[in-house]
Amino acid sequence: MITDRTPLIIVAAISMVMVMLLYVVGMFVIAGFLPPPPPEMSQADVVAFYQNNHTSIIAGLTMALVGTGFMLPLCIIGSVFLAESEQGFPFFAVMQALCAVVTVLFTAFPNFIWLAAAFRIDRSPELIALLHDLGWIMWATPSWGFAFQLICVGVCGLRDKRPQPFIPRWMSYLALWVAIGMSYTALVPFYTSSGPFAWNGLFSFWIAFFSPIFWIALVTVMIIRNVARSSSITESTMESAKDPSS
Amino acid sequence: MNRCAETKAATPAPSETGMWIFILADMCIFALYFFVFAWDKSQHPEQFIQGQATLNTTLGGANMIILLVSSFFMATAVHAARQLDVARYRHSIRLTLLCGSAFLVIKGFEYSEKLNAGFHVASNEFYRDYFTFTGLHALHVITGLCLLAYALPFGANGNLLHQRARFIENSGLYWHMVDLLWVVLFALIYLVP
Repeated sequence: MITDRTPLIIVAAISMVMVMLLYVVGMFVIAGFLPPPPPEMSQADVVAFYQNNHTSIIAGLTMALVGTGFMLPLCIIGSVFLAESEQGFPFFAVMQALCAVVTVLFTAFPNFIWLAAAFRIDRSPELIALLHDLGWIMWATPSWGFAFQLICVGVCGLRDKRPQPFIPRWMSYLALWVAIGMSYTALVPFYTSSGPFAWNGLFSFWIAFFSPIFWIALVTVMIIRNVARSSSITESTMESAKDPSS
Repeated sequence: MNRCAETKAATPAPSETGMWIFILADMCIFALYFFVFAWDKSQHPEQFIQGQATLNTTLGGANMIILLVSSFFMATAVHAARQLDVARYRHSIRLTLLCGSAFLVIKGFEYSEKLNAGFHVASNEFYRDYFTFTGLHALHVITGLCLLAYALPFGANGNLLHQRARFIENSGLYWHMVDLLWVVLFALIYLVP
């Protein structure tokens, strides 16, 4: 069953812009939470960070929180493409959509925790430091939701035997690689000081955060090109179908 | 049969471009590990010399030999799959699985030895790198074992073996990569003074 893709692509484009605008600007620019602060930051520094940037932290985190919601339509549209390539019950499409819910929840929960830390800034410093750590561990560690989404896309892409698969096969392999590349985040709770595997480290943040973004950017370009090509094919077949009758 | 023959003729290397991209990308990540290891070593040379002295080269070397032997069995399996030799395919895959499992068991002994001696991932930079890099490599071995366990029933008959030829080739390539990475990791962590 083929769904009309044009409205979906428009929704995906809007969602993507909203995620970029709200989440990225909120977290990086306004709240100043990304790139992550070093895990060895002292309790006094953490409390000072929340006290000095109180309003911008609440504004940025709330903005990012709204942004995470827009990740859902983006991911569910992926499931539409997966379901079209599958035969029988669309296992991978459903799995991908459910994992997307996990990804969105685990991206949104830490923001609630940091918001709680910033909410009553006069509370005991230990508690603010605790909420700060809890938020960061929750933000950085559980990447398996997104990894499973990528595995679903990768496996589906490799099983897609149609002449025009929804992504080229090498993109499927790249998806599997990005999924493996995200597995390092499971090591975050081991490190209380900066290093390649700490929550602000080379592997746990810079690779695990930016390699999926790179992949999503690539796949967006592919899908737009794919749709442009398939719509031109549909138009030409429709025209050729019209011709004999006219 | 024809399609397979055409692919063979078109690409001199086995498998397909995508799999090679995957292997290259994964090896780049491991190259980053080697870089991180070398960097940490240059920052804390004392710690790394002391840490290396506590490692069990015999177990590490035994693991290297086990993986090299398993690579031979894997190559035999891929070869048998191409010739549609069902019995030899199943036999070789089983032996590869056995070698991979033996690797993990030895790894487990090695880890328990270190943990009992009081070293753990947060002890110092050397043990952080040692546990993380060998652990992530072990994760690759586990992934490889899952792929092989999935590929084992393809040996039920020649037809199935022919249909899943690409999967078997890809698993073989992946397994050789895991082997190669251990050779480099072993040399870098256990041997290089």
